[in-house]
Order: sequence, then structure tokens, then C-alpha cells
Amino acid sequence: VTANLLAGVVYLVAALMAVSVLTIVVGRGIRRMSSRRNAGAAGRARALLVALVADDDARSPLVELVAVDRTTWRSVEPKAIALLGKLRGEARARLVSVFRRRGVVERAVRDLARPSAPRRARAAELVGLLGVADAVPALCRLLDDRDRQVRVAATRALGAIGDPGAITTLLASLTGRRSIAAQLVADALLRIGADAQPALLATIKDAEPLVRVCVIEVLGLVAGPGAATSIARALGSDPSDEVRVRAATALGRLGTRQVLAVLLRAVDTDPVDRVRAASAVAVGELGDTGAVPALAAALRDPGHRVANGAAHALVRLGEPGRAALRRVVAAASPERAGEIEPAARHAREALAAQEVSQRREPVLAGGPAAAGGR
Amino acid sequence: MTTILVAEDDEDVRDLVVFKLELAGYLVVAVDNGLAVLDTARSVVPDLAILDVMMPGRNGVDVCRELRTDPATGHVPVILLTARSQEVDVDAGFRAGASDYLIKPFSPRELVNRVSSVLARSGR
Repeated sequence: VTANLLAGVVYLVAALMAVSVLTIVVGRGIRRMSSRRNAGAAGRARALLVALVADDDARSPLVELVAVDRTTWRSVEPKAIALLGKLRGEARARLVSVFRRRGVVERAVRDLARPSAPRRARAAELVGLLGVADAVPALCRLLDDRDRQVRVAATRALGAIGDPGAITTLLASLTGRRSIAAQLVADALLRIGADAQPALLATIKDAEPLVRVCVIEVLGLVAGPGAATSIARALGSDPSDEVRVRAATALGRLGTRQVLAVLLRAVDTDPVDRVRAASAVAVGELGDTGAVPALAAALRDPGHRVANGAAHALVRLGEPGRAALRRVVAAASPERAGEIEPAARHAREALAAQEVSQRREPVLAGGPAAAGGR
Repeated sequence: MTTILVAEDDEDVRDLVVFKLELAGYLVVAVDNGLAVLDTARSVVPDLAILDVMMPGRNGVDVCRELRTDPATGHVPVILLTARSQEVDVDAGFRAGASDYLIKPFSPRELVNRVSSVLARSGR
């Protein structure tokens, strides 16, 4: 009986082992086949993706990509998302259409309210890339999210969508307990572009200096000449040094000569060196040679940065400015060194920098051969 | 047949550009790094080269400059395709001898238009 029992156990163990081996072999075979099938489907989906964005006339890649099963789409979705950021025009519109038809947009909008922070951040990034305007209110709420990555993703998404309706909330996110880095907010506002001008001008007198700095910085890059008067007012009267510095720089960028008098007044009378220096540089950007005497006078400003800025601004004004600098250098006789030498030093340095820059240009344009030929 | 050399390290963008150019009737040779551009350009001598600026090996601006200084490839017009959109970057590209500069995000259709325009300007 014992021998029969033992033989039965051995037989049972052997049978179990055989079944296990068979299961493993068959399982591996099925997995390999499935993996090959998936790889084939993914390859086909990738080819469809390329055809979709490259071929303006083909309809079938769009229809086929909308119809692929979820596993196949998952394999190609990261590439499709990556392409969203690299394309524009109709190619991008076709790609967005696939995302919409597959229900990805609705899912992403729902994910903006999920408990998982990484999921909220990914969803914010995706709705931004897809330009989902309906998601703007939800993204504005996420600017106050408890997770920093979510706030960053929402800021970027709002910039990508470019809805001016988000500007007030974006600016409000600069301050407070869960503030967002000014550079990120400014970048988002820049992406909104010229449409941001009215909302930015409406906030130019905000109580927070950080907000005013950001507003003026962005206005200097996106606004038209119509914004110059408001920015000039800020240069003349804002209590924050940093705001006045940014205002002067912004006025230089806008290039409107009607603000020359305001800038020259700032060069002459602002109590802060940095503001006078930025104003002098901005005067150079305006390109009005009528400013030469005032800038030449600023070469004698006790502030090093101011005098230096004035010297470089004179170079920017072309030959009349350079002539003024040469006169200052020539007048710097050793006997009068005590009075005039600092101004002459700035003048000499600016003229020398311009000469070096002029010599560098042909070398850079010609590359190594031109450099070697000299 | 007009031959175009495409240098782009991003596989998806490279495949897309190749597909689009082949669809437009060009013969395309593609490489994925800056070093390969110089060897390929010397052996194939394309009618035009499209170079990404940020590539492993050599960046597109340096490669463009080198193509310009090589007698075998000095005549090949170059289009730079890049995400670097600052004025200083565009300036550096043209100084290096690029015929055109296309900024990412880009439109594939615009790329083909630029290609045919540059080829027409260079008499090809």
C-alpha cells in the first residue's frame, strides 16, 4: 500500500511538473506572439502618425489612427504628444483632431481634477499642448494647486493656450503662499502675445511691485507704441526702483521717440544709479541724435554704470554719438585729468568695444577661413 | 533627381521630414548626427542640406560653416531647422552661410515650400 501510495505521489508530482512546464512554454509562446503583434501594430501606428502629419491630402491615416485599439494607441501616444510641440499649421491641426476624436481631450480635462498630483500635472501639460480653450478655468484654479509641479504645468499650459482671460489670475499667482516663479509667468504672458496688452495695461498700477515689474517687462516685449505713455508714467513716478529700471528698458525696446524727453529726464534726475543707467541705455536704443548732448553730459555722472551706459548709448547713436565720445577723449589732457578722466575712460572704452565688435563681425561671418586669412 | 541631405537627431522629426520630402518627389539621404553630415555630403554631394542645429557630434551651425568652406560642398545651399528662435541664433545661422532658417514648431508644408524656393534661387 505504501509503495503504491509513493508511486502515486511521484506520478502526481511528475504530472504537475509536466503541466507547469507546458504552461510556461505555451505562456511564453503566447506572450511572444502577442508582443510581436503589438510591435507590428505599434510600427504600423507610427507609420500612420508620420503619414498623418506629413501628407496634407491623405484622409486614411487620420481615420485609421482614430480606430486603433487602446494598446496600440498607448504605444504611439508619447510620440504623438512629442510631435505636438514640434509642429504647427495643418499638420498639427490633424494631429490634434486625432487626440480629440479618441477622447483624449475629455480624459485630460477630467484628469485636471484627479487626486494624483503627477496625473494633474500631466493632464495640464497635455491640454496646453492641445490648446484646449475650454480647460482655461480649470487651469486657472490649478495655479493655486498645493503641488508645485502642477502649478508650473498649469502656468505653461495657460501660456500655450494663449487666452487673455487668464492674465489676471496669472499675475495674481506671482504673490502669495503658493507663488509661481516670475520668469514662468512672464513666459506665459509673452506667449499670449499682443492680445495681452489691454489686460496688462489695466494692471500696471497693481499694489504689488513684483506684478508691476512683470507687467512692464512683458509690455516692453509684446506691446505696441500705444503702451509707451503708461510705461513712461511708471518710469516717472513708480516708487519701486526695479519697476523704473524695467520701465526704462521697456521704453528702449518699444523705440517710440515720443518718450525721449521722459527718458532724458530720468537720466538727469532719477535718484537711483540703476534707473539712470537703464534710461541712458534706452535713449541709445531710440536712435535720436538729438540726445547726443544730454548723453555726453551723462558721461560725467558720478554713477559708474550711468556714465558707462551713456557712453555705449552714444555709440548706438552712430557717427554723431561717436564724434561726441572722441571729443571727450581728446579733451582729456593730463593736466585736466582730475576733472575729465572718468568720462574719457568711459568714452575710450565704448569706442574700443565698438571697434572690436566691428572687427569680429567679418571674422564670424566668414568662419575659420576668414579668421585664418587675417 | 534632386537629392536632399537631412540631418536630424530626433527620429520622429527626421522620419516626418524624409516622408514629406519624398512625397514631394525628392531623393532623400538622412543622417542622425553632425559628424555624419560632413562625410555623407562629401560622398553624395546633395543639391541641398537641411540641418538641425542641436545635434550630437557637431552642431548644425558649425557643420554649415564647414560645408561652406569645403570646395566640394561649398555650393550646397543649407536650410537650418531648429527650435532656437532667438535673434542671435538666427543671426549666427545666416552668418555661418545658411540660405534659410526654419524655426520649430514648423509646418511640413512650409518646409517643402522653403526647399523649392531655395533650390530655385540656387538654380537647381
